[in-house]
Amino acid sequence: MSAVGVRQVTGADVLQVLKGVEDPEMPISIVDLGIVEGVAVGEEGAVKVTLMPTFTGCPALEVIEKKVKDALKERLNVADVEVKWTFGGEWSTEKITAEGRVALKSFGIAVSPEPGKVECPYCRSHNVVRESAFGCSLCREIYYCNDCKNPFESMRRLVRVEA
Amino acid sequence: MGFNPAVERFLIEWALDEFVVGHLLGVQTFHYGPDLEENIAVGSISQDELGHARMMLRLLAEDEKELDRVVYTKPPEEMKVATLAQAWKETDWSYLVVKSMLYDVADQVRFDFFVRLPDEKLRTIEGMMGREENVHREHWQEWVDILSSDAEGRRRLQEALDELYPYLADFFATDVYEEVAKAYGMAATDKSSLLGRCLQQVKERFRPYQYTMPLADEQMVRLLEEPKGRAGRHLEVFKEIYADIHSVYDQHPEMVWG
Ligand SMILES: [Zn+2]
Repeated sequence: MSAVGVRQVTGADVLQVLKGVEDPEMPISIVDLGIVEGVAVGEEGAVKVTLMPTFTGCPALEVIEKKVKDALKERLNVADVEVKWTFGGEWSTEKITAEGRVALKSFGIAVSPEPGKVECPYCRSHNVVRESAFGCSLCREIYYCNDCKNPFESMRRLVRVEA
Repeated sequence: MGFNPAVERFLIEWALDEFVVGHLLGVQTFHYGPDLEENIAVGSISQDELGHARMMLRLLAEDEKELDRVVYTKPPEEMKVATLAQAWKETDWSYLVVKSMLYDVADQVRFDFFVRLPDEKLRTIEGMMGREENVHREHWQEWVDILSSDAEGRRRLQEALDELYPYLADFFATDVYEEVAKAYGMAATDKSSLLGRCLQQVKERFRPYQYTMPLADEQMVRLLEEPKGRAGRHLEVFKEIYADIHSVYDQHPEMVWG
């Protein structure tokens, strides 16, 4: 460990690596998707990554966890990685970064800037209707564009309804 | 992880209900819905419910195999799954709509009880679950509205209500609420008041269409003393469900995901 040039891994290094870890269901990094809640590097170099799923039933938790561990091992040679999932926070589409929005749009998935303002990713029309509150993964819903006649998906936005 | 045994029992009973509901919605996703969008919706709701079960169990144990043991190593009579959660007919859409509507309303009453518990550890799982359940209830309400729009639909929903409505009593036929309240030093919560709240909400949801509830409230309260699934006395169909749920685990008990 005393080799010249070997420095302690930092939180920024870890984030940089996580930027390269893709979500298993969409071509977007987990950082851009906004599910990385926190990164901590302990004194002994142990890394702790806290993640928040987009929806509670996300079937990819174990897969993402493994991808994170593999990437940190491969890129930074960190073997001591703890991945913790937190369900308490509220993931929402606001957490998707600008870069992430571009990536999703080119994949044909809209991310609306606010409720009721969904834009067709193909022709940019707002003349769209929601066909279903459920899409082909838990974080998406199905829309139809009345102008270019394409069906498309939009990232799903759940509004908190007070009882 | 450091919960009072009553709270642990509450979380396990809840998780097993959600697990069975989620499992049944997922079994034949493609058979249920009248159209593709509905199949996708049913599949999504199924995943949400399984996710809720996992989240609750993760409060009790982080290790995957330990979670498995909670679900997969109990004999049927020790799985205190609500009768309403296990009610199932292979291809009967109106039955599934009524079952899901009743279950989600009862589940909301349980959720409202849960959010009042003064325990920081429990707060970590309520946010997402609450939002997802709101979507589910609205979804099933839409179907109640659609199916109620003609006489044939109303006849089928009434038939399903006649069979399923009494199971709401079993849902609350457990002393776990009282024990949990006691564990946190809260005022006693008796199951008949929870049931009463639930019946009122159910009636409101079906009221616009003049359905007849097969039992009066007093009869329902009396049924609280005759627990079925909650006491481990299951419907005939549970044998099949139990075998199905265990089939993979029994072949590969040491398997892990990822
Ligand atoms: Zn368009």
